[in-house]
Amino acid sequence: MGPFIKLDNVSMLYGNNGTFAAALCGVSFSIVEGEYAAITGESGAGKSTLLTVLGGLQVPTSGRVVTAGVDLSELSADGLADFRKRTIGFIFQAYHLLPYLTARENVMVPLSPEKSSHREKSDRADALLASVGLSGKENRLPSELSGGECQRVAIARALVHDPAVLLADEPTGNLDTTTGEQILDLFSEWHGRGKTVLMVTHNRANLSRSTRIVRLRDGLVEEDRRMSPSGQAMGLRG
Amino acid sequence: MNIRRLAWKNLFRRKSRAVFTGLGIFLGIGTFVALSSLTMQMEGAVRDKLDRFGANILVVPRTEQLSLGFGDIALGGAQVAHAKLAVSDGEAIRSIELKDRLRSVVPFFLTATDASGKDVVWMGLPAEEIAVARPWWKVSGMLPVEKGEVLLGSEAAALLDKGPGGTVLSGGRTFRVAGVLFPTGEKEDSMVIAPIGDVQALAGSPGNVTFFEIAALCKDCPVEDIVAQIGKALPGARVSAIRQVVESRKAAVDQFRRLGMAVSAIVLAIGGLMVFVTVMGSVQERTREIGVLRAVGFRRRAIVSLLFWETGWVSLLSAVSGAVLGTAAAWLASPLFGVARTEATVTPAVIGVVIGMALGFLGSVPPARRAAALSPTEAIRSL
Repeated sequence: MGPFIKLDNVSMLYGNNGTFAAALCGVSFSIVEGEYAAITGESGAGKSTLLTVLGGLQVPTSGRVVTAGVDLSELSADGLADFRKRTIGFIFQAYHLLPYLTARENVMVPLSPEKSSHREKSDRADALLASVGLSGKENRLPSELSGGECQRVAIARALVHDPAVLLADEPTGNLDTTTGEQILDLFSEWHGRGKTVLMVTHNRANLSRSTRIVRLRDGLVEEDRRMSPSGQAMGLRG
Repeated sequence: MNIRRLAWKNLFRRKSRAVFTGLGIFLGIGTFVALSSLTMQMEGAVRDKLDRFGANILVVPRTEQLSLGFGDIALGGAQVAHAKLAVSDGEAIRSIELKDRLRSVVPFFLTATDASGKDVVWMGLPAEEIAVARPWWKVSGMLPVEKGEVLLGSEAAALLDKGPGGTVLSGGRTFRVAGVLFPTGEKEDSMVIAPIGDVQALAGSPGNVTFFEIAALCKDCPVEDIVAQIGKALPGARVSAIRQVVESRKAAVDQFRRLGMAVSAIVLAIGGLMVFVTVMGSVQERTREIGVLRAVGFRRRAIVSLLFWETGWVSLLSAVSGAVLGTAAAWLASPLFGVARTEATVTPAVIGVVIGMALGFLGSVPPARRAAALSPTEAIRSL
């Protein structure tokens, strides 16, 4: 199977007033379609930057990112927006739900620019909320939901376009262990349907669910290993 | 859920900001509509008042100045009239194409003759037309209403030492003094004013007219056209618009309009600035939200559309309520400006709503452009 996501010598520099800091320094690796990869490393290793580059939210300073056969460096700002809508589902640590919208409406937000009927969008949102265990809570505001429920809404929102890739940035970082496990169960379920999952995490427990672990250190890939179904490292690099 | 609804929901979330944004438009449009409505009402009132004020066209016999001399010695000159005017010429004037615009056509006859042994100028005009031709006259006593009655100018009354109820002798006839004119500062102060028939009889010129004074209704003031048509109807007459009166009417009306427009422009500019500042503030406050929307696939146009819808809702509601308030305020305040309450005019309100929407749109263009240009990177950094 060919690479579904390919990073080729990707570097990302942040600069201000002539001072530059490298968040990524020539990162190269590939992800096969259907992989469940955990990106880990210490704070400041470049994990979140890597996730935003993979998701087409940032264009790298140098290097190429090719996802699902699309070279992201060749896309315009609107082209990247379309790419994100079609291909990527983002999940953030702090959920980032819109506080003035109900759970259902939050899930419907990515569908807002589309011309399909309200009923159609609403049915789709309700089905997704049901699939993440939030039936009966469609009309609740985020302030009326627990942290775990908010993250479930965020997951439903990320999945509303049926993306091929789910990018999650510390999705259990704000949750207790039990709730975090439930969220990871949802990721595993999604992965079980053949979708690609990339998760940035500090949490060792989260790593056990993944089929691949990419460890970053100072903007470089320090370790890259595939895990066997039994949890044994099969080794790639590092 | 669509962008329109998303914008509407966000407005309800930030009610105080929405109210503040709308306040600028509300006050701006309210002021604009109130001043425009008042100006329109005052324009109409001023025109009506000025139209009632008096004549604005004068018809006199065409004359030529003849120089008289003997050899190199100049003996002065004399005015020679081509034709005299007659009372019947009034009918010719009233039959012009623009006759509907003629409010009054008043014949005057002037003659200098004796009054109780003193030489004074007699001015004759139809008794029933005196109040129409000189509505500003104030009289002690009564205006003449029938033959044999006269009105004395203030100086003439002093000269003849007569007052209301007194008599004046002239041409072997006795005239009763119906009233005395309060000083006007005009030539009438030294005249004896009487029904035109009496004055024509005293001068032995029955049916003759010295000049016609015509008051034209001057809404759009086609006074030049009226002058031309009267000139055509009376080829032997010189017809001239009393330019000063016409110009002063226009100037008074224009002054009201300019004042209203200046004040409205200032208030609207402040309103536009308020929209700009609040929407710009909103964009900065919502960087994270915009980042989330970009992350879930919103194009830049969708972000611009979202902000325009938000401002559009606020502008529409504020402009409509401002227009209603402005119209009501103008209607209520009109008596304070000396204007009688009439039916409220809708035009300024409609224009106001359109301006309010345009103002909201213009005020939100720079913030919307900024929001659209916000790179997801910048927005994501705040996530």
